[in-house]
Amino acid sequence: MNKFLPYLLLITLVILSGCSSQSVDLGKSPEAIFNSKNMAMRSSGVVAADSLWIIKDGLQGEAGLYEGENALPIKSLSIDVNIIEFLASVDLSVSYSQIKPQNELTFKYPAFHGMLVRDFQVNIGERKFRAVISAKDSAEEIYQLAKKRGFNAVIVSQEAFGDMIVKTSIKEKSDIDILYSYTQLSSVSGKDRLIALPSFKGLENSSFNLKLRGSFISPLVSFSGLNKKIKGTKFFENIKDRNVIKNGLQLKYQVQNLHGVSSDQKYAIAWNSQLNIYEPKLVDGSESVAKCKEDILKPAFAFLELRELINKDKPFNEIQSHAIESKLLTPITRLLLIDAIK
Amino acid sequence: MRILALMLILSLNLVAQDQKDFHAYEIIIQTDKNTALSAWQVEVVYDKTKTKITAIEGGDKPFSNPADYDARGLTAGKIILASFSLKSKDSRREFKVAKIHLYGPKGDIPKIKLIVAADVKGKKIKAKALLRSVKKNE
Repeated sequence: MNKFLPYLLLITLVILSGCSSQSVDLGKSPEAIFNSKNMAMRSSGVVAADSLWIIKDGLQGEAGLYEGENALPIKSLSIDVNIIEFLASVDLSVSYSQIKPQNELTFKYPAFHGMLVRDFQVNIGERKFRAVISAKDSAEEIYQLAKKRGFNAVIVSQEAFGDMIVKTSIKEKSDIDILYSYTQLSSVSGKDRLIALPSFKGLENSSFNLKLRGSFISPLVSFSGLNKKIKGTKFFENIKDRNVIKNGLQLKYQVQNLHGVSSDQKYAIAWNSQLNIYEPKLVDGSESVAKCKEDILKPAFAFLELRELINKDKPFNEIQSHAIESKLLTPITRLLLIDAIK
Repeated sequence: MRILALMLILSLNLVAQDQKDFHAYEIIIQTDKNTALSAWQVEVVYDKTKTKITAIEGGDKPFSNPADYDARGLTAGKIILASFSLKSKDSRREFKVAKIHLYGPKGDIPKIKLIVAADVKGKKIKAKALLRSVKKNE
């Protein structure tokens, strides 16, 4: 049963993110779902996945800034992936050099596994902007108006299960950096964890930097890697096999000796209506799970990162929720950025 | 006749003031004495029925990265902006810490209130916040 627990947590998270809600009986209370015998939330230990893969290939989709059908050349690309159990936080920065004034360019980025955009910034030359969340209708109206009147304008959308689409209308020749952060679920294939990243169009003749960090809660371990060079940590002494493909598009980390924490644990995710967040909890069998409310079945506007074990000296382990992020992009919202200075 | 002309000009001016447009304000923090400002938080109040925030822009160094904001403030008519930098070195009395971009009536000038300002040691400092209308190349 132990080895199924991570998968079950993933399933739970997928349910929360709305990715596969069709397979869940939404009539049940969250507590009932979590405590369901079928879901087997109790376990005598936790074993994390044996290996972690980061996959970046054409099969996962393509990203890039397009002028019509043509992808513009990327000046530099930086991807910082921080994996925490089943979640991957990705900070991505892609730079373009001397973009000519355009009526409209389109930046596309494939959405993976319930991708949840947390922040979006654009640098135009030396100036740095943060986009703001806005209702779909008014955002599109304001974007069109700004574009028509010659202001620098950006609008970001993501339909349900759709790619992230960024439309930019930049009115002056300048370097452009697109920076965004998102959280996605890792998927499971056998004993592997899979983190998908897309291929970038226009990456030829440019620098590419991939930074990799991560931690597993059970047990509390961490690893880090930079580019194709792996920085040795204590944790990596246990690496059985790692496979770095020549072009750096695929990384595989095989990890051994991951052992469970303690016996009789239970995962739960509670909705804190006061703080408007989900709170992940890992408690022992004797502890009651924090209040779960029907609210948890509402569309997931929040997500979670599991960071660390706390209360180590106490009779039970509790995983502290940290950095709860708001989901900025939904089918009814847009991220808007209008540079009002002309 | 002159009075009528004056009234016409005034009413036209009022109409112009009420017309929606894109405009931006610089957020400035002025301290009582020369200080290396390291952290700040302000509250900007605007008319939520007429004005929309369209972007947050960074200010001068060390606050060139766009400030954080509370997402609820985007529709609440009152938004909190805040930022900090551990790279603050230059002591001075005025800091351009951010810009706020708006779409709404130009006559609808938002109000700003300083919540807190602190130096590199995290010590609260005496300061005030103000908004300054900004145009290209300013």
